[in-house]
Amino acid sequence: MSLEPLAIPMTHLAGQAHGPIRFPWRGVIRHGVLFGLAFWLTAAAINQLARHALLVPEMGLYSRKLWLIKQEPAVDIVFLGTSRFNSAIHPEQFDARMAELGCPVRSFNMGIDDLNPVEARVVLRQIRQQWPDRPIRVVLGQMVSRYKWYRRVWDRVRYFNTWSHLPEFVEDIWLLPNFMSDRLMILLEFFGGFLYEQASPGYLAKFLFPGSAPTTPSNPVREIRGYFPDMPEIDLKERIDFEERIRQSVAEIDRWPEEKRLRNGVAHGARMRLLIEEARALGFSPGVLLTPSVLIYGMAAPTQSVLARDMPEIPVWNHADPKRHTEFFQAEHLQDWSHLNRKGATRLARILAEDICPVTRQGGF
Amino acid sequence: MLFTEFQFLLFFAVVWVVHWNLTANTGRKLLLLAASYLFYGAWDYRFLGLIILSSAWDFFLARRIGVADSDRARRSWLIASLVSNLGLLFLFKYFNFFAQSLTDLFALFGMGVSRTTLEIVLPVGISFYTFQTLSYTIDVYKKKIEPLNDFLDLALYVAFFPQLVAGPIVRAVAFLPQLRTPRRLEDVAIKTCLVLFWIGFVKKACISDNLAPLVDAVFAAPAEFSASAIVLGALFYAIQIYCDFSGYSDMAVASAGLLGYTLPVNFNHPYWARNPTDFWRRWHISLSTWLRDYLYIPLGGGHQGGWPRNRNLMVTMLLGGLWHGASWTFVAWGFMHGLALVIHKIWQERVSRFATWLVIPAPLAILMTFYWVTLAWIFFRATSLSSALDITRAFMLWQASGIRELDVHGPTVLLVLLLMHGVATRFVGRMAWDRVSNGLFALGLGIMAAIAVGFVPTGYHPFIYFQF
Repeated sequence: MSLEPLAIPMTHLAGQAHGPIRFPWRGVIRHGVLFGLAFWLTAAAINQLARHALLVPEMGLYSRKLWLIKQEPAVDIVFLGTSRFNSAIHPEQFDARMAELGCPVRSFNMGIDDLNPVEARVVLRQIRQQWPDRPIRVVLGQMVSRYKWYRRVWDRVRYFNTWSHLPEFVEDIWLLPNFMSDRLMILLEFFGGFLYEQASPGYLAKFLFPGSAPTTPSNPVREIRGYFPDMPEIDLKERIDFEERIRQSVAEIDRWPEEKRLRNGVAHGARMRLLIEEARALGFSPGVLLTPSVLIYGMAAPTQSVLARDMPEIPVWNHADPKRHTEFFQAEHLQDWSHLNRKGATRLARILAEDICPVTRQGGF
Repeated sequence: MLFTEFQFLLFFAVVWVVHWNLTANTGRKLLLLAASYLFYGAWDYRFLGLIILSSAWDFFLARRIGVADSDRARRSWLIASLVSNLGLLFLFKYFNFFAQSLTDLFALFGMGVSRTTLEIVLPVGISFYTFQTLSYTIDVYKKKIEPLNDFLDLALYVAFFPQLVAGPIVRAVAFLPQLRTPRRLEDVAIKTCLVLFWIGFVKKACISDNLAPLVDAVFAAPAEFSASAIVLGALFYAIQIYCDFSGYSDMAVASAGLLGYTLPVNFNHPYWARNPTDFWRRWHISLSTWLRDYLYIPLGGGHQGGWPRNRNLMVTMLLGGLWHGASWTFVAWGFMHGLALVIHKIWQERVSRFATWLVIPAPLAILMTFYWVTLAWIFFRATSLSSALDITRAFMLWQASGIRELDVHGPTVLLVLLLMHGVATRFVGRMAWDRVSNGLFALGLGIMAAIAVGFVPTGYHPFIYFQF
């Protein structure tokens, strides 16, 4: 495309007889608004067209787990959470221990990195759609609360940034335990990404240049009902230092003021409650698992208390306590700061089976 | 802060509104200088000192040239300007290249020399603003312009943000007079400027940036690709670099125009050129005319004809190649263009003049020129000379060992781009935009802007010419 002759002149050649004019504020604002309206309406049309004409984008682990569960003949228990769930539950080990205890089940690890409550609800609906009448228990984890500006270009973030999900996102951000100013900043960042998506960048390019769109590579790795057993380990040389850092963090969290604990507990309890209600509405039997992690240690107990008070019928398994579950805060069971390795996942799955089986027998889950 | 990013549009909108609300010319120039330094600082604040120092030094030298009482003194001050400006360019851009090349040369003769390189970061836009400051001191020396009394004017001329990082290379003689008279909003062809900006945006963000991943794939691993994919990759690169650079120039000219300043035309349908000489009258015009006026003509130009002219052409093109970057691939690119220019001159002298029946039909001449230009682009883009030779072989013989194809329907893409070019040239570019009502124009531009954004691929795609 070329329009070189336009390059000169950029100024009118005639009609300079009058003096300088005042800046035309009204005209600039009026035409700016018209421009904006035309832009957003067109962009919205492109957005709708693309969402109907293009396939659902490749969304890394999110797409993969949904595809994997579709291959399952049936499941009885689904563990739905973030990457901490992804690394913490070994379904085969869990099922084996459940069978030993006389509670045979088939479970699936639906841990997905950076899963937020809006995405989690969509997963629940997908599972229900797959098995409309099957009684399924769902163990829910704490969802992430990251709405960073740089994530706006990710296909997964873009896919969920729709007007229909907007109230859910705003509600979730509003429930976060952060102070008001922080929440406003998070909201601002979220809206940055939301508006970016509404401007529909790149959707038309996907029609003309399908090959140039970046895709998430999928690695051919071993998988057991949503669990990837080939997890990394912490280097032997680093283990002592690592455990020392964990101890320091735990000590620091122990010094948190009560107000902070309570604020976190109330906020995460409220977020969890919304998800539990959604799961119930879809016909699932929900429970809550707080996985071993320094990152949620500080808020785990208060969250558990809040849920026990507001929803006493919901079973909560809190393993995010380094004093009770010391082993999960030791390097031999971890792959990093808050993710278990295969040994840790095997151990936790078996302990969890021992927690869950009696509750299922009593009909509490 | 790229012209195609939201940050720039916001930045420019603020500058534009404040600029036209200021009444004093000095106030406007101060604003533009501050905005220009902010714009440059957003790239790399570390080099702000360099650009200020370079401007101040040339301001001082030009004044010395102006007051010098003998030709010898004038020449000495000019040489000081040439040495300092080119020295700066050499240090930042070419030191490592020449150090490495010398080491390699010694090694070729079995002489081990320890390699000395510096960890130098290339300041963005240095090749462009160095040529501008040089044009100022040379024009003062040639008495085409008077040395400036106001440092603000020179600082703004050097750093004016629409053209700071990738041109067009503006001559002092063309730009400085514009700074003396206050610009008037009523003189600005706002709609024409906005349309030109939109066209530049489409070229860069919608065409060049979408072709970039395909071109990158081919040039990164040519051995994996089939011959047709390599040919398509080379053709795509020819389109990519044109859209990238001319798109930048369009947006630069339009941004300056919206502020009331006129920048020189940088492109004029280069791929319609009928011969190599014609091509260089259409491609990166501000550089080619700079090289013509400040290098080719001082070397003796072409009026003598024959060997001296051919030598001057070749030297100019080799240095022009090297100006783009410190690499032998750029030298090879310059050599190919120099060779084409020499052959064309000889053809004109020895064949066309005597055998008038041997005139090449225009479409064939255009195709032949485009073919050679595309071949030269392969060297311009390739990561090494050996890689360039492999791609050239596949491009010319249509033979390659790889089997990978580009994940795009090449003919469709080429056809769509050709159609867009036709529509833009015939309709968009020739419309009398001022006759369209403001409301209708705002609506139309909003729709076209949304469509353009729809074609913008995600990810960061800096302009190719920023690296020069």
